[in-house]
Parts: sequence; C-alpha cells; structure tokens
Amino acid sequence: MLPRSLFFALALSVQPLLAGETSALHEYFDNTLIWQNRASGAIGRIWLNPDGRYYAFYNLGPQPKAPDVHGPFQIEGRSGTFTMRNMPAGSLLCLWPSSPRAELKAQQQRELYSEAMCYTFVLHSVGDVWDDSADPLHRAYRFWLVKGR
Amino acid sequence: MLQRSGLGVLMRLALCLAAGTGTGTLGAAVNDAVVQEIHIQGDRAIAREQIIRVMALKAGSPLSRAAVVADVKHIEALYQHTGKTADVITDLTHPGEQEGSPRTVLTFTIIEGASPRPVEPEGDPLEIYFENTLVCAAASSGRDLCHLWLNRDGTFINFDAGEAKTGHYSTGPMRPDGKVPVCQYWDSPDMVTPAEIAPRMGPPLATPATHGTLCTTEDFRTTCRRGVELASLPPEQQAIAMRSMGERFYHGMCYPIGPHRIGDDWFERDDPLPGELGMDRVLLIPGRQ
Repeated sequence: MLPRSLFFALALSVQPLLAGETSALHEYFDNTLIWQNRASGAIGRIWLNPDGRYYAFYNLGPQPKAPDVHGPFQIEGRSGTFTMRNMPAGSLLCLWPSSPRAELKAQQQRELYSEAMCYTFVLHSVGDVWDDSADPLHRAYRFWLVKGR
Repeated sequence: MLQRSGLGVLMRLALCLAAGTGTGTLGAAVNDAVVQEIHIQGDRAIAREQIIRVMALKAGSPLSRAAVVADVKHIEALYQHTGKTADVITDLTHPGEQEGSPRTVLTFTIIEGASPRPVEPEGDPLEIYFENTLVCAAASSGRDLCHLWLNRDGTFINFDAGEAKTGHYSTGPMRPDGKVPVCQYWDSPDMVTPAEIAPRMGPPLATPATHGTLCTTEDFRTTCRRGVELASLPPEQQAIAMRSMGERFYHGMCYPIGPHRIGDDWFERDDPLPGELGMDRVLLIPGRQ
C-alpha cells in the first residue's frame, strides 16, 4: 500500500490520459464501479470514460438536517479527468476534479474517489464483487463492477 | 436564499377572481388557452383590489406569455408608484389534473421589498442550469432526492440515492408563467445497483400489483395518475401503467423549469409526479455537486 504522501506526490505529477492507456480499463467503460464504505455505510459509484473523463456520485446517507443551498446533501456528485498509472507497487487511478468546484461533504469525509489524488486500483471484470481497503485511510470497502450505467 | 413560494411558508392569500372550476372528463388534457382562476398571494402593503384594478387578465381571459408579462409589469409599476418595491413571480398550475379534470390556475406571488427581477430576461432561460445543479427534494422533510446536471448539448446526468443516469432532453415552448417544459429521456431504463445496497423505495408488496401509475406525455407535458386500476385499462395502457421508474424516465418525463438564480429555493406544484404535499421542493445550487 502506498503511503499517503506518495498519493499526493503522484497526484501532482500525472498527465492527462493518453489514448494508449485506456485499454486496461475497457471493462469499466459503459459500466459502473460501485462501492460501499463498510464503516460509514456511504455508497459511491464512478463512471470512467474512454476520453479520460470521470463522473463520481456519492450517497452519504440521511443527513442530520434538511439541506439549504449550502447543504448538507445526502447525494453529491463530481466530474473531472483521470489518468491510469502503472507503478511497480501496482496501478493507480489518479483523479483530477473539474474546477471551479464546491467542496463536497464526501471530500470532507475523505470518501473514496472524492479527492484530487491517486488511489490504488486493482483491475476487475464485470460481475466481480470484492472487498478491499482502497483509500488512504485503509477503511474497509465492498466493491461491485456492474454491467451498464 | 429566496423562498419563492410554498405552503406553510407564505400565508395563502389566494383570491379567486371567478369560479372557473373546470368540468373536464377523466383524462381531459390541460388547456392553457384560457386561464380559469387567478390567485394573488403575498400582498400586504397594497390591497388586492388595487392590484386587480391594474391587471388586464381576468378569469376567462385568453392566456399568453405576453399577457402575463404585461400584468407583472403592471403590478411592479403599482408598487413603484407607491414608493415600494416588489418582485412578482408567476406560477401556472393545474389542480385536478391527476383526477382527470384539470383547471388552469395562474398565481401571482408578490415578494414585497424585493428588487424586481427581469420579467423577460434575455438569452436561454436554461443557461443558469448548465454549470450548476438542480436539486429536487421532498417538500415536507426537505430531504434531497435527486441532482440534475443539464448540459448545453442536450444531454444530462441525473443521480439520486440509488442510481445515476445519463440522458437527453428536449424543450417545449415557453409557458405563460415563463417556465420551459424540459422532457427528460434516460438512456437506459435499467437499474444497476446491487440488491444488497439498493435503497428501498417503499414497503414490500404483499400481493401482486393491481394498480399502477399511468403517465402520458403530450405537447411537452406529462400527466400522471397514481393508483390506476390495471384491470380497467386497455392492454397497451396496462403496460404503460406497470412501468418502473426507470422505464418511465426512459420513455420521457416532462418537468417545467423556470428562470431562477443560484441560491433560489422554491416549490413546484406542476410536476407530473409530485411528492410530499403534492409538490416538489427545488433548489438551484452553485457548480456541479
């Protein structure tokens, strides 16, 4: 597992996705990667597109009060660009959220794939269900790579 | 934040200028050629009789965007003449529509003390939605239910607690109240969330469904009737009434979307499937979130 400082260092050094780098992710295109934080119960999903864009959505569960325009929202979303990096220690999915951007509660909670950084990423096939500690805080997650969007 | 209208927030000061109640048969289409009722709410500083005197629209009048704009200007000018300011918001609703006898009701909501917003803003009324987020929420509890990202190219992303969907939309002609009908078509009717984490939409049904929700779209307007007995419908309508939420949006659902500003927080009563209290709460929040 990569140390957190390395995540940030890599986040600053990656470049936009190159066409030749997309092939490893072909099972993710047109499909949905869903995860659940087993501790918080928060659920997320991410779409990775062949053009290097991503969309991530978060369901943080019922909030303590009804939202006004400043939140808190149970549902949040974010878009941006991503790169896939193959490192000796494993693959990294590096996310570049679009700007300008509002700070999301998912980001404050450091939910998976909510921040501008690189995450360890193990490739799977459609239909796979697996458990992993994929975020920098090593929290337990369950993942589903499901067909369709 | 501007609370534009809402039950329990604004005191309902409706004035029915005439008793056009509508006598349509079950399934009658909405007819916006003539306004049947005009309501005025929010007036305190100026008596409604004075407001009525400056308005040209009356119950039974032909209804058009131009006529509504003219009356908004008349009301704002009346306030200005008395040294006051007011923003006038218009809302076209169709009570009785789900029961098959819609009435065309135009409500003027007066926000006294507010600077009037342009009643005929230039440009695309949907422009403000393209870089921001439209949130739909429950009218009573306030819980947010969906987030909509409209794109300039005619596509959108809508996500809720259980699913995220791409789609495309079409727009109809501007309504007399300044709202634009936006018909949303999901790219897929399928739900992809694993059952283990899918949100429960309601109590499990103990018996096979005998009733459904029948939604039909005509002239950029979707009308839905809940609790329709399937056995009473012809086979092709039975299939429509048995559609899942995903299938309904795949085939298209039209919602009126009005001119708003970031930070607005309002209630919409003319949605095809309103939630709590017969309406939806809507917020326009900055950015994509």
